[in-house]
Amino acid sequence: MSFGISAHNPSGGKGVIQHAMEQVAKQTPQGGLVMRKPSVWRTYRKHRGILLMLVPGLLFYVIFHYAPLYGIQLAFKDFRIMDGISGSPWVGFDHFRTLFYGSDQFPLILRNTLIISFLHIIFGFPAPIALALLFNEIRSKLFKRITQSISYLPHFLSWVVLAGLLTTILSPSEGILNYLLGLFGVEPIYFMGDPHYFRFTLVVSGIWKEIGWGTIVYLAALASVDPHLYEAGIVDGASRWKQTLHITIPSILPVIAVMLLLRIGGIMEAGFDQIFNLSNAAVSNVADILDTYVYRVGIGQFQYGLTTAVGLFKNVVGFLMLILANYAVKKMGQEGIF
Amino acid sequence: MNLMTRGERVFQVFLVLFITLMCAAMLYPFVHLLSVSLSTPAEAIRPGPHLYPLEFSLEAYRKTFEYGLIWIGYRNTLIRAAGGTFIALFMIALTAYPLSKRYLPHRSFYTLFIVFTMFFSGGLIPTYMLIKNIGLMDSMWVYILPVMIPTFSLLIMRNFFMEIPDELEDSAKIDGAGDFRSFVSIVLPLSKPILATVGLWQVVNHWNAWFDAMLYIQDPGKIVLQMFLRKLIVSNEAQELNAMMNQAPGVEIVTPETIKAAALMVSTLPILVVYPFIQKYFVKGILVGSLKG
Amino acid sequence: MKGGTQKWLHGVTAVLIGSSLAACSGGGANGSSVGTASGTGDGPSSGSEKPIEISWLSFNPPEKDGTEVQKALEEKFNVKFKNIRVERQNYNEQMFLKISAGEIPDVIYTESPGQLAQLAQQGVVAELPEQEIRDRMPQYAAMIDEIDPTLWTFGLYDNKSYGVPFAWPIGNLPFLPGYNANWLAKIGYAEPPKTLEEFEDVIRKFRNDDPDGNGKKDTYGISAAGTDRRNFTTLFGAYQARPDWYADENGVVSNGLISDNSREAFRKLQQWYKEDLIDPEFITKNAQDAHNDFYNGKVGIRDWMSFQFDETVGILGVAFKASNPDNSIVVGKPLDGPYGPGTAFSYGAKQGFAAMGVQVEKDPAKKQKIYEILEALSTDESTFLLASFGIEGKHYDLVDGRAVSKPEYASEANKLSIGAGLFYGMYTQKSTYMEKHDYPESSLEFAKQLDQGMEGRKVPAVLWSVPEVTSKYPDLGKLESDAIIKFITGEWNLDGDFDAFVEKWKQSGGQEITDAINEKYKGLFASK
Repeated sequence: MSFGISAHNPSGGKGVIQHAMEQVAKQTPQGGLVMRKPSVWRTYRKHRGILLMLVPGLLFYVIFHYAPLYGIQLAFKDFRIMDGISGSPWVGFDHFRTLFYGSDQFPLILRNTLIISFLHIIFGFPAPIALALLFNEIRSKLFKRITQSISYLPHFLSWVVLAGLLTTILSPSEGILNYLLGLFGVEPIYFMGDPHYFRFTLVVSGIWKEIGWGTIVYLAALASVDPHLYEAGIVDGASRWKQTLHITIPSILPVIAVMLLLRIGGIMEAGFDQIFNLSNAAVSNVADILDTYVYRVGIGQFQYGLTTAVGLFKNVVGFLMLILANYAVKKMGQEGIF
Repeated sequence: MNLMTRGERVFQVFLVLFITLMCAAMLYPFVHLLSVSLSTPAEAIRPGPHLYPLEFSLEAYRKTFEYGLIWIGYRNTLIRAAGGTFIALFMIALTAYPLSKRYLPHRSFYTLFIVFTMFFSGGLIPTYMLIKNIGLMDSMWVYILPVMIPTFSLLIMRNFFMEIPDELEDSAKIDGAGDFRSFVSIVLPLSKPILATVGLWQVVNHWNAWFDAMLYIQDPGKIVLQMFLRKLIVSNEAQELNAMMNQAPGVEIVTPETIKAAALMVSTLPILVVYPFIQKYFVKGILVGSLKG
Repeated sequence: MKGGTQKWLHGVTAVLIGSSLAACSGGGANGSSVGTASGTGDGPSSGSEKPIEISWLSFNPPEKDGTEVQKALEEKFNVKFKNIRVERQNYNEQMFLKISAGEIPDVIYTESPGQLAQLAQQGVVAELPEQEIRDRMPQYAAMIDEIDPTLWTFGLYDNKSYGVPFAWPIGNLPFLPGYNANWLAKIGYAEPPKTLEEFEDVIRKFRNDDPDGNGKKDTYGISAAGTDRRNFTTLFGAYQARPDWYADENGVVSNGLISDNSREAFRKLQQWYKEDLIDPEFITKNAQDAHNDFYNGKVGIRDWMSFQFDETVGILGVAFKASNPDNSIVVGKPLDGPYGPGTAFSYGAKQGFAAMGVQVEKDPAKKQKIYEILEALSTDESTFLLASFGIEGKHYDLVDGRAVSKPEYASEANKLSIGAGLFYGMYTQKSTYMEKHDYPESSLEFAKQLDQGMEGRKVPAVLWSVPEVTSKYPDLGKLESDAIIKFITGEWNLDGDFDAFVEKWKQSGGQEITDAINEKYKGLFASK
């Protein structure tokens, strides 16, 4: 059996499309531009077509995202309604002190946030990719269409609604899952109330809810794969598995990279809605995250300052992580985000 | 292509089995809610699985449709989903296209300029003031304009555009087409899968959105479907929180499970039928035809 | 604003609660006489004056502006209402957002003393001195005095009054155990248990003797809802404990969770838990789940706000009857325990406040007008009926002097379409003068029975607010919840571990908060 496509190629992982794209990239007049170092004005004139197309989008960002940005100062202020945002007194890093030192639980909470988020990335991120690839292997078109449609149903139910259902489904005494496990001789497990299992419950229920919906972008990517590549693979006698490994995956790698980068940027998001609705006092030591903590501190209180500060903290961390990951991805030869 | 090896046939059998089981697990909550919505209130709170209603009743649907607001909600949600998605698709594609071009001057800067907003925002109060100051309060436009370009979708679309070989456009440009012409006549037709994907995201986001309506809309004639739903899908939780936090206990009002379920069905089912229409754009080889041509 | 992600309120079939105690006796007779007096007293304001515009923020806003009820009220008081719509679920957040953006409503329904304190602290509400309220709303003030005079003072901020207190008369009713009547008969009890020993015997038999006769050991005597402080009230009551904030007879406030009585109650709970007498899945249940288990014959006892057992309007009573047409709930009394007769929780009659935006201070005419409207809504029968029920003959009928909604306007949902309901009718179920319209006769009768022999045995909730101290200790609540679970499941013992918990609790802000409350309220919560 021949490995045709690229098995022996040291850069095989990058795949054919990438090669083609790199070829194309080399042919673009970029090099010339760099050499001549023309004035900014001249470059802008030359590309006024696409620059003009960019203008409405930039305007949108300026108006709806940059204009309200002054609100960030609330992170360093004691917000007084009657004084407004700019008139409120500065309090320096008080809110951050409340966050970091206000509770001796902060280290635990930060750890929980990161652990749960990592688990979601490690298990939850690849899951829709795998499912998309499996869908791609199904021969029956009708079966594929129907199952795809079904798989994204749970996405449409909110965690408030699902929480009640999950409590029933996962109940040790009357839940169907424990009943099934019982058939294999497994003792009933209190998935929702046992701290040893709770994070597992979070990750698996998270996958269950979002896996189908998550496949959509990968299915779109799969649709863009050049069928010629498969034909060539078949001629070379590559098995389905080899085709997947050496044609399909490399072809959708750019999408995977972007999705992963964006997910890493959200590293501080461990899923407030899910945890808020599923957790309880028995598991709070493994499930208490930054957002639930802020919720607790702010409940019934008027805490714009603290909320802004926590948001800022989370997002600075996320943004730095994104920049780091973006750098790493580019090092590995993939297209980053910027 | 039709010939399968023995191994592949075994694989297909397991695949179908696995996918079927998975789908059963994913279908369950809907079957449950549908069954509850069609049950009598007493039947609805019976423990154990609900696969079909033992005591059939349409009462919950009758009561749900009693709300005059539901029809207004449907109408406005349809308007925002259709209008919002159309405008968003146009704006996303229009902005993603230049960003996908390596020769765009200061491309990294512009990209960063945009990505920055995914992480840093002014928060609720300044945004509320902005909406107020530019006159979007109580206007249907508040549903559409502030979410015209979801950055996530923008980046994904840009990535897809980047994979379209430049040479496809070069030919058009040689014929004298400007950037915009080549964008409309070459790039967009080649991008149906991602347009469909991003479009689906927008439709669903618009369908599920309620927060903007809750904040910015006072006129009951402009309410959206989810606002109506939220009035019904509510638990006693805050009630408990109140008691725990030593706040006023207030009055307990409980919405029957059947009505919650019916309202959920009524507001979710319409959006579910969208997907099959989108699916047809996920056709393989969309790039190839044009490459040949 | 994720904070509000979900929650409650808002009925479709607006069943609910009701009745009163102290004031209950004379309420009916009072109602009409007071009503007419007030109605004519304030009289129709001279019709030619320009109507005052009042922006109005309350629960359950009407579906549209200019509803029949709104128009009728506007005409009656020569005002124009601007309805402010805020979703019930995120009421607090949305209200503060609007206020932060400079939109301060003239009338603001606040839910709690804490919320009012925040508004006062931010300087957005007008001061409403007690004497002023007494002068402008005399009938209502008399009612407050009768229900609970401390209503006047428990919401003070900086020793100043910022709101007209709402009372919730029915909140004074005790929490009592409701028993599944058939089960009780099956295990040989002709009447509900009176002592802790009998109670223990009942839950043991409910667990072991197959009270539902299905041949399976799948029933429990008692369950609960996570760490809800309203759990196991019957048991705690038998130990004369309330594991939450309460005031002793001198008004000294403390948290009963750290009391020795609670320690002994937890000891009993732990014993029951280990004996498998308590549904072990209570940890993941919420109050509604616990109710459902009771209706569904999974659990035989539910201890809850006793009025809810009423079969006409109580949420538990109605649902239980629907699921079990041939069964009924037997409501018990507090149990005699090791320290003598048991006590019972109650919510207490304290509630939120009607506040006014700070701008009203500069507009005496408007202030007077709002007082006039509030007084009429709470004490004038025709105004009350208009705001809560709509227009007579069209939306409701008077049957034997009681308002009965026409079927098509019976639900709160349909009341919204005509502008009736809680929005203007803020005093629905909050005025003893009007309770005959709020509840059927049988329910009021039921309420009286519930309260029999309960004099001096009820431990009402203490509503306090010391935000400047509590905000320093965000972990206290979590520490408490953690401990509650661990004491019940036995992960912590009730000797050394309990002592350690008490110590930790005090250090984690418990002591400071206790001191701050007592400093601020100084015996205000003393029983009459």
